[in-house]
Amino acid sequence: MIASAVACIILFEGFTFNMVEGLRETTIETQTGHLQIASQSFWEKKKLRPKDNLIPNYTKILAELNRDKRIKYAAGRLEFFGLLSHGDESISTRVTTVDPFKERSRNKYFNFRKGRELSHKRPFEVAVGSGLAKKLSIETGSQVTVLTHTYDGIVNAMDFKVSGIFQTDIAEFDDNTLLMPLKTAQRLLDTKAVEQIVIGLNSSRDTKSVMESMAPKLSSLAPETDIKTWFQLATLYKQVSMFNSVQNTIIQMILMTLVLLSIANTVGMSIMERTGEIGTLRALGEQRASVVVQFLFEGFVLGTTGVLIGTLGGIGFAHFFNSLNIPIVFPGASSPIFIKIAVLFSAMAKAGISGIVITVLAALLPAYRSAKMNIVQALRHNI
Amino acid sequence: MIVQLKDRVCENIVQAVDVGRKYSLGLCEHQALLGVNFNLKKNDFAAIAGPSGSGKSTLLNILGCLERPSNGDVLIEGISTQKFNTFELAEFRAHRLGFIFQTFNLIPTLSALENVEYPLLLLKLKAKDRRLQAEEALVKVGLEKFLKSRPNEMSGGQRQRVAIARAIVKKPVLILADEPTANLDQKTAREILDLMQRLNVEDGISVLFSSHDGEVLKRASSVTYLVDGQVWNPKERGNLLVA
Repeated sequence: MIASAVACIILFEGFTFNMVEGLRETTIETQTGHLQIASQSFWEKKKLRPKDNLIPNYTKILAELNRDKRIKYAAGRLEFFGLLSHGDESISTRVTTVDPFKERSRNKYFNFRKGRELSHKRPFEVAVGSGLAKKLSIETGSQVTVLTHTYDGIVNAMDFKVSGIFQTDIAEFDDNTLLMPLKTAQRLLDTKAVEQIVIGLNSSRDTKSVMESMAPKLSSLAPETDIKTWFQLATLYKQVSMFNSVQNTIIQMILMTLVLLSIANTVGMSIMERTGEIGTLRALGEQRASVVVQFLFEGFVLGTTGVLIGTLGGIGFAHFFNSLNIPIVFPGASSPIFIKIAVLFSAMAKAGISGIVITVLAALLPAYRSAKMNIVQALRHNI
Repeated sequence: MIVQLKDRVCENIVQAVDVGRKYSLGLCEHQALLGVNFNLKKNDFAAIAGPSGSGKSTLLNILGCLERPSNGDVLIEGISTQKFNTFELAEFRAHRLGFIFQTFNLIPTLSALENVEYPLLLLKLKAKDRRLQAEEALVKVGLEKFLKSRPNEMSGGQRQRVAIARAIVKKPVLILADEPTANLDQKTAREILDLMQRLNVEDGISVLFSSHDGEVLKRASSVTYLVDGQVWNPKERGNLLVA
């Protein structure tokens, strides 16, 4: 029982960890970056005129950012809504920009299913999410029109050729997003500024330290701006992560309650069978506390053995499941991925420690009862 | 407490003073012992006799500090056990008393040697000394060839010898034996009684055993008869035939 519970916890935690980690990487690389700089009014959505949220001197900030070796890329970004038309059909679309040269490392996360990624050498090409492409029957090479209005409120439109169709792990993103080169978007919106600066780091671990080192520089370069981490911006990730954490805790509690009841029953049965033995030991002069300690020690040995078997089983099953390449579509995902279970030391430690503690706790009450047993009555149980 | 008792020289090993024991059986109360007075002198090989339900085992349990009397007192080597707490009683049993049970009560998972070693473990002796003393005790009861045998690999007589070795290994002042021969055939019972008598003489250990077997009782140096929980005095109450 305890071995199965420990193995289940290791497998479940490893499975959800990989799922959440995958979502985190996709969120960072396709949407938020590790850090974002924007005006305070942009974050607070205070100003009604989007033009007031722009960062005009963003190139100076980029120059400062590019000096930091922890930063993989830093690029300006614009995000706006427009009407995407293909043939006779039109649909409201979210347009997000990329700097095809600086942000080329992000391309693999967009997972281009058809066509090719954007290039700074082909400014009038756009990429379309798979869901959006399906809605408008867009294929690579299709001609599309994006209609929007500039920051000054003038209607503007541009024709583009679809270079590729991408499919990230987030269906909602693929269903309504169009990627456009930044320079082209600036032309369409008639601006030389950007709304945000998106920063990608070589390592997620540097997020806090880069933010701390950039904050004072920003206050002199662009005092009206503020810097935020991906975690502050990734609402979906936070929700999924918290949901998984609560779910894991509940599952762990259920499993450990079953272990508690099962071990208490096992130790209780063992004590029943050994009533005569306990009576003999107490008659020979064994102290009550020693009897309790003996049964707790048995619980500890039982727990440790179960935890060791469960851990080995968990690791074995994780490798076995990983080798099977079982496809699964997560809620909100646009495409199936293979089940991958991470073997986490933290999960093993958590399952192991709670397994041993629960087993010892489960042995406590029966052990206490056995120690309180009347010696003469206990001796009547023949050995 | 144990230190106090160790060097004590007392003529009476155990004394029961006006001991009574009541048991509650649902709404009813059963008087198992009533006003029992009893003395066991040093080096005695004494017996408690009486028919089934007369209170023999209850008296032995009380004298062995396995249960407390409802009233009265038990003095061991002159010291009252009335105020001893559970811890002190267990400590006392561990150091000063040996028990032999009708059903042998050996730990089935331990070998003969380990069973005999166990009481010495409670005295916190070193492993080497424990082993040596346990081997000596088993040799004394004639089981030198069965050191490694488990209880289920031995006959009833051999098991009772292991139980005797377990009782004598810590050199107690008193061995209490509750019907030690009841589960044995006559020949084996005689051998066991011979062994207990020999240990009583050679090692000077006082032995108090219960029985209702006339042949067994003949071996005792003194016999106390119990009838309906009271000591039966032939001068006061006439003769009693013991079956």
